[in-house]
Amino acid sequence: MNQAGVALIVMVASAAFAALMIAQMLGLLLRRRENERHAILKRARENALIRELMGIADGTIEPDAAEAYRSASSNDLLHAVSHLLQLVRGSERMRLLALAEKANVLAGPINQLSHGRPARRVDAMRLLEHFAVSNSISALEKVLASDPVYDVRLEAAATLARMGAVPTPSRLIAALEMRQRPATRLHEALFRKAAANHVFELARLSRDDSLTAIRPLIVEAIGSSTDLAHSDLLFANAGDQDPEVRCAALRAARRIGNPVASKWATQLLLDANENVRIQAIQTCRSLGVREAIPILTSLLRNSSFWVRTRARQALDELRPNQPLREGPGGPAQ
Amino acid sequence: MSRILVADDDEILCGVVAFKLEAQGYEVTCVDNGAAALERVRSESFDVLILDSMMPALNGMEVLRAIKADPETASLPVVMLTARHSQEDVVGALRGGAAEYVTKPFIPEELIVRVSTALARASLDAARVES
Repeated sequence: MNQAGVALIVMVASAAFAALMIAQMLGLLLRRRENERHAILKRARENALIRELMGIADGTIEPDAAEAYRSASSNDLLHAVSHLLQLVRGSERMRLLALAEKANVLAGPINQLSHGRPARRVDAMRLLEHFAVSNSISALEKVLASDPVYDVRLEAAATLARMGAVPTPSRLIAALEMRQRPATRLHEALFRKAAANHVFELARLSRDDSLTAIRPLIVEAIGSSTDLAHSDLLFANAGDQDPEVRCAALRAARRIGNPVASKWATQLLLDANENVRIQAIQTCRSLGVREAIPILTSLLRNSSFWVRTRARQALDELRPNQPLREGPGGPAQ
Repeated sequence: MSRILVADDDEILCGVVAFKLEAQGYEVTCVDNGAAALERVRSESFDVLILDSMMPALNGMEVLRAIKADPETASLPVVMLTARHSQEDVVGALRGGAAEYVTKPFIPEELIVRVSTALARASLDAARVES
């Protein structure tokens, strides 16, 4: 092949390559324009759907006359209502929830609760969390009772709590295997939430000898009920042989704030366990027990640094006008 | 017809607020960041600004401060509509010149009442200045 032939081939190849590049660029531009157009249309559809949903919720638009609402997929409706529920409260919120139930938009995520992958089941819970209606609550209760994966059951319990439908303490203990597993902060939070509606059950469980391991958690949760009627129960636990239970009773008494606890909290200032003494000091301080001042003064010479520190802080609060000093001779037993 | 500017980066929230206020006869314009809100307030005439706290470009408090510092825009009533509900946020915004403070999630009817109250107060103030 002569030189002219080679040059021609190179020129044709270059032109073809350039044409290919131009075509690719044009393709990209067209695709981008199409995506933008699609995004604008999608936003317009979403806006129309939101307006119609709000109109249906306040009764100014009939569902049959709402075009975007009627043509929206169940998934679009679910996401739109879910977003709206995070923005509005009051009667509008209740009507949106009723609308979601009526339009059966929860069927999808409820079905996903039995998906083979745990992550998908958890995702479905996150969606259902905004819909505190009977359908979703009973579906989540089923997950809590029977899901084979512990973490999914834990997530179901937390979701129910966030929806204001925290299960009873007995169900939590059974579903979350609390007799066998160590309790975490999440368990504590769940029990504190449960206290508001299930304080009598907590009181019964606090006397159950098979629940020794989680008794501190149960006793402390009673404090979150802020029910003054349970001060006697806390007094009974203040004499428990487990120092963790005595500490929990003191923390609960502090939260309830009933002055009836002053007497036994003062007695626990002299407990053999350091943590119990510290909690007793905090409780006397919180309840404003001025009768505890002599014992608190003696604790300024306690062997524990933290007992001395907390006692000093409590005395500063209970006797604000009298400067305090450690007794002569420094710390003593 | 009163003109209301809504500044919030949540498009759905803007849609909800616009729907509710337009149903009451207001003319509503939405922007999605603080800088755009400030620009619109300086270049156009609005009767009320509904302002979110957390927005890109300029946050709600910065916009509020800028509006109240400028004699041209200082009389514009600002209704804060925000998820921030701590004491410092509420008191800070009201001290900074906000006419009303509404927290999210909000009751749409409450927002309508707050907007009309802010409008009424602003027209009273304007009448007092004129007289």
